[in-house]
Amino acid sequence: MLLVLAVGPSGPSSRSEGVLVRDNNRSHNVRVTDQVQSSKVPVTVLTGFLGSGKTTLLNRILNEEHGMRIAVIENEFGEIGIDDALVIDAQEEIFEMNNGCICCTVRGDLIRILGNLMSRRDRFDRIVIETTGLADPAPVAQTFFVDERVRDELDLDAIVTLVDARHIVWHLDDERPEEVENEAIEQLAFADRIVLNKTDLVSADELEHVVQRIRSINALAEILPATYADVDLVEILDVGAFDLGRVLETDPMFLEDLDHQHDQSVTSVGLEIAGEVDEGRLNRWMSWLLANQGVDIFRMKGILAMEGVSDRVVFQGVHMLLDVETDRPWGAGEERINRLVFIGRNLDREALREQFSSCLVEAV
Amino acid sequence: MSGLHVARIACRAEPLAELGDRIASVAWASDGSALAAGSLSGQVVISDPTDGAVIELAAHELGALTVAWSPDRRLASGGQDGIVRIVDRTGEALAEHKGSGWCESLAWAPGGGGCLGAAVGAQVILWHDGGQLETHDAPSTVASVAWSVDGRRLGAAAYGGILWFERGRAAPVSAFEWKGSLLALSVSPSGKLVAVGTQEGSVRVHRLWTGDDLEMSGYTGRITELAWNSSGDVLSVGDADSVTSWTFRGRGPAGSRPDVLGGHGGRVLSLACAPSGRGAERIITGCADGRLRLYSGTDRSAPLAEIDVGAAVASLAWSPTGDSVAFGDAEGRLWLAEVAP
Repeated sequence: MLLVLAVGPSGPSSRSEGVLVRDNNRSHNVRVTDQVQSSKVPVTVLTGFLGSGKTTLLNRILNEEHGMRIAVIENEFGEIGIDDALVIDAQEEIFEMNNGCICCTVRGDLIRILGNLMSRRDRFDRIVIETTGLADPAPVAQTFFVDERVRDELDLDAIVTLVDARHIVWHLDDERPEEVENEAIEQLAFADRIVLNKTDLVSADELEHVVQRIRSINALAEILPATYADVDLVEILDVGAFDLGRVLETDPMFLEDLDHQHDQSVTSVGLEIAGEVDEGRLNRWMSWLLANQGVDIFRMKGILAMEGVSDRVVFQGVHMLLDVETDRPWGAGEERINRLVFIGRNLDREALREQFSSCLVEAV
Repeated sequence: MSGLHVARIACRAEPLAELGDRIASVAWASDGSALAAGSLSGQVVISDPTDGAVIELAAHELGALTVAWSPDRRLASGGQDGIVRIVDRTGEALAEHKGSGWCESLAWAPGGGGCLGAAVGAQVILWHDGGQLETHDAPSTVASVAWSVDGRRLGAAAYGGILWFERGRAAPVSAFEWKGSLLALSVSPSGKLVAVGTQEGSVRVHRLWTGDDLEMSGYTGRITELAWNSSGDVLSVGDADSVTSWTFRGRGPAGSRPDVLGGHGGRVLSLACAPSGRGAERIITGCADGRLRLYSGTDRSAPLAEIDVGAAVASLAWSPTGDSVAFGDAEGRLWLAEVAP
């Protein structure tokens, strides 16, 4: 017997500034945030295969003179406290919430550890989560959307993926049985910054090939070539990749020119379409898209020109979870152009273009 | 310290102890002669509420998460170092076990028998009086353990359900399965019901031992604060900025509306119902807004009394007689307040 009782105090969190997807019946997927700049602690997620140089990079983050107190959550160290840093061991625990909906798969271990860190009197200035090369980045990112406390007190800054320039293509081409994910592809697809490490071990031609290959999967992430993980830390910390104010700072124009692969593989699709967007139509399309293709869409970012809204509307998402808010006003001479980028599997550029175009006001 | 109803709660001007960081757990010895507190700084203390004497115990590196007194006044503590430690009333070490993962929850079997139940990482531990240790694997990290009132079964809440263990039995004797993350377990003093708070903002209540269940949903966030009244027929639940009390008398709570304890200015971090006796329906709450609030058994729309502690009230416990409350704040201070019946 299961009775569901109505409880007094609350319902789902209110969505006061609902511009996009206001009447979405899959409302738990969409979060409309206020534009409050807060003192949330930034969190960097560091992914990459064994041997890609993660430990080297992590040690640099911990040891470089920056005067910050850093907490590191990772899988191998065991729990230690070192000067101005704390390293906590995490055993990956994947929790499905809301009856197994994929968008609500989160990392239970991170919820517990992050909650503990935020309870402390001496707050950390920064948290770095290191995941193994075999970890799925989606539950890590989704933890920052789904858990109320994590969402309120922490800011997912960026997903940084390290790859070994010499071995990455081999990992990407690794044949898997159907339904088994290739983690190397997923980790590239989710990345906001890609540190292409060990470039000294490949020729210029090979490097170019590797870069092309990475671009074909994720056209949005900035690629940072490095040897011995000697990337400038400024390039990977405080990126603000999940900060809606900085969405699509990278000009996605070039995405239109990418080779189009219409198959199972993971690709990026960028759209740039002028015109005013009709809210109702957009909501209907977005609801349909998330419900039907959310599993295949790893990351999504966009800037929209909504009819009757003087501010830019920006959004970004992971699978079916979406953040939406109004950004700065459109400039006086600025052309109101909608820019959207999708990274995922089975993406059909022409279909997406057509569907989005039908959301425009003049497209009656 | 201030407040209009000073007479209802009188807090000592100075803390009993300062533990350096948030006090995660406070517990009274069964005879009220001592209390214990554990802090995220790692410190654990035993404090004498009458003379103020403090005994500092061995720390749990990186954080002490839970403390619990046995009926015969031994103290168990657990922490982020994976250690479960037992000391006597004077702080003398009696036994220690190191597991893998954090120890977030401890519970001594009621009555005699002296069996300690512990959650350490993804293991449930049954630690017999004589030192014999049983370890049981759970499918995921165990967030909370609690004994049935008769002391026969230990319940363990984890992702996937509540598992029930008995001493000397290798496998769980019963399981209440639920596909979700369960965080806080609380057995009603009547022995008839067990409540569990979930990650998804709901409270599930099972009837022991039929397993019949019901669910109260719609809370804003994960539920970790649950407390039964002493007769075991009212369950109070701490949420984002309120406490709701559900009555299990008659046909309730199906179809009923909960009593709402108003006046909170932040997340409710701790709550406890008074022990049986005079004033048994009183509830004390600790809030992120830095206030301790006392609610009467009748009108709960506003607190009967409140005191401003100046830091989030993270943990609290009634004394066995119900005439005082010990509480710990986010700054690591352990306080003692006298509370009118």
